[in-house]
Amino acid sequence: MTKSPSFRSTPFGSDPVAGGGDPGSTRFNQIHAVDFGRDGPPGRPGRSRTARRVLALSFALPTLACAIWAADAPEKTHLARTVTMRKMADSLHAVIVADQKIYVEQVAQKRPSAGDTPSHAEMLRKASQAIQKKGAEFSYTLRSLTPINPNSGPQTEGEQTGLAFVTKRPDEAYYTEEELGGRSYFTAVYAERATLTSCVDCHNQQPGSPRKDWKTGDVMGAIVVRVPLEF
Amino acid sequence: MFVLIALTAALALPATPAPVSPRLPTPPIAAKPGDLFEDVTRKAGIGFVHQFPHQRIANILLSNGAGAVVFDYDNDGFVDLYLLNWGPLEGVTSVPPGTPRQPNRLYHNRGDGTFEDVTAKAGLAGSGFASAATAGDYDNDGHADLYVAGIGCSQLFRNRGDGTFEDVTAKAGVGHGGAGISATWLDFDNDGFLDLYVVNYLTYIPEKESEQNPGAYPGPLAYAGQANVLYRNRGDGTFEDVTQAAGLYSPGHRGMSVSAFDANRDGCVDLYVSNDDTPNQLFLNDGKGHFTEVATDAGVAFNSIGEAPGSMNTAIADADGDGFPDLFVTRFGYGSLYVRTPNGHYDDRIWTSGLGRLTQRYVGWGGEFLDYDNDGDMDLVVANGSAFVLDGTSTLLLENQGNATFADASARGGVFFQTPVNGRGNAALDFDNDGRIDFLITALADRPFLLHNRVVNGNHWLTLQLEGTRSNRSGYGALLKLVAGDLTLQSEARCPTGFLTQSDARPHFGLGTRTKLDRLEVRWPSGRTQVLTNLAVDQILKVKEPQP
Repeated sequence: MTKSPSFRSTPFGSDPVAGGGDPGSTRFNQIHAVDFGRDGPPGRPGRSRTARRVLALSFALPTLACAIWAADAPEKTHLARTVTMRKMADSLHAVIVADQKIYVEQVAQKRPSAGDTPSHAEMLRKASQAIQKKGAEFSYTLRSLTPINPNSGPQTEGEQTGLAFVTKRPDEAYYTEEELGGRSYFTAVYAERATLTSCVDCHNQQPGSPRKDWKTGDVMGAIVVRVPLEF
Repeated sequence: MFVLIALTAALALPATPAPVSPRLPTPPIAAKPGDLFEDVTRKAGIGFVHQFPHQRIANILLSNGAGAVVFDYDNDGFVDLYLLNWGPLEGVTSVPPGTPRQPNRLYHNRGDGTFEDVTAKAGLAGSGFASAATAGDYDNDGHADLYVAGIGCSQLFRNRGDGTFEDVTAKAGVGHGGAGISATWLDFDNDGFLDLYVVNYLTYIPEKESEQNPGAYPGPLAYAGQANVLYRNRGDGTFEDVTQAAGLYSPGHRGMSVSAFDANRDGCVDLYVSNDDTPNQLFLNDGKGHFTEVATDAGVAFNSIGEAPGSMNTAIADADGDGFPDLFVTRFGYGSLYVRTPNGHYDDRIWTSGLGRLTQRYVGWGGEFLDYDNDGDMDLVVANGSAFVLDGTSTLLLENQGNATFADASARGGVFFQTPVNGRGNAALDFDNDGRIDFLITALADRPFLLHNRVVNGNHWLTLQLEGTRSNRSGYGALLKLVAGDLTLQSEARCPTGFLTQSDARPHFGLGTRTKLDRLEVRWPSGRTQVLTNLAVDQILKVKEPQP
């Protein structure tokens, strides 16, 4: 396998010759060798500053050449070059739920009565739309089998099946491939639990809520992450 | 000596012309006795074949196709057809040097079900890599003119009224050099003169390669989008670019088509732009020359799964019979049926309407509303096709159940709907003036398909032919309300552009079994309201705006 130019130019690229250490640290060690020469090794006292510099350079230049050669040497063969769709979806989901959790805990819960504070669902939707406006190659949305807004109900067969699956098995994600408008997608569905009493209270008090007996820990819906398999 | 003779003989033979397309045109499709639609393209004398100057869909510009315009250029009461063509384009196409461009074609409707090619006489062969065209009477002389949008070259042809056209692009100042892919006429300032909105696609760079799929060409996001342009008609045959002043300058999108319609029924025409891989845009006209983009708030920017995939086309009609215009968007990805709610927002009912399931296998391009059975609700025909290979897919005929839910009527539609076609543009028309709506599909690297409506159910209809006086002569922007007994229908006389095409601009109403029209109300763009009562059904009614 040949290295790509971008890896060659990266100071933290792999360095198989050095046994796995990154070339950045290798170069750092060589610079220390130069410094060592400047201070003078034991048993060679009295050498002039100029002579010490010449000696240091004579060590440094070959060492630097070795470092450059090492950077161009064959790389590790076990490095990941692709990310699976499942891993990509899982990673996106991890970011989404982390942001969501922090937003609920740090913002929404502290200003529950403020009219200008969007719910976590609105926050998620607005963030998703902001990403789409930039031209993203993935999308995500919030879904529920008992939505307050009818448009948040399942919109595809995959969502319908996935919501039923994660409602029964909330600790697992549901993965499938869909074809929507002739475009193939990898679709992942993750359970969305009511983690805080504020979630439960809000949904139970909403006039349009089709269900008003939510309890903490219930699966209220799901986050659906989609990655198109064609541009 | 033998070689010399052979060479001489070879030179004496007529040169074999380079093929227009890498595939043979689809042969005529024979309809079965009960089929609702029949392919009459060859019978009608339409021999056009789309020139595809490559062996495959090698890049994004080659995936889009070329369209057609339905308009009556000679005012004989029968709509004619203008079909657009591509040609060699450096960096985009790949054909032997010297390969000539095949002309656009103007087909004159003889009124007997056949057409004759009058391209040369009309002077409408065109040039370049033409995408779409739009027809409208910009100089109010009673003759419909043509604007052709193309990649790197767009042209305005003025209709002289004698069967010929003159290229007035430079004089009019509308020769934008962008990647033109769609255009529409509209009178955005209601001054009685049609203005022009041109949609530009993207800046194509031949050297780009796909990062994810080495075998595929890069998608639209790999290229910079181009801004669209609004030209204001000065009324003296010239136009000015007022995009910035009108609040319409919006770079970063890759437009595919535009639909001009009055979204909020305030008498001022609005714009909906379908974009490739960025959200669609709804520009509301304030009536003072300025537009505001409201698509996200209105609920028409994204599809129902929160995505902004490649939108090709938006068809406009009242799908649920509430009097307000709804939108059907075709996409490479999940489409949308945006149904307007009483509060002015839109619900995407692609799933609950049944359209999600019916269209999920297909990449939709030209989707068009038409009441093919004249029962008073708007059905759909959707031209589908692959974006990557020249093989065709099925076309869909979708029957409105009267409440914006749809059922697949393709089997009843006939053999055509089971025939693979790489469809692109889709225009509804009534070419034989029998009150039954036909349709025309343009196809990639293929001939077009003119489908004759053979529905026999005794339902009645009304078609309008409007003529503005204080308003623009084409009558674009007039709001229509028709009452026939228990049936009330609302519509709009629009410049009916969609992806690559323009449909028959004559507003058409299916009336079901009703035999009398109680009332027709026309609210002209000038503000004048005209009311006609006790009208006969099954006619093409000419309505002229009353003079002041």
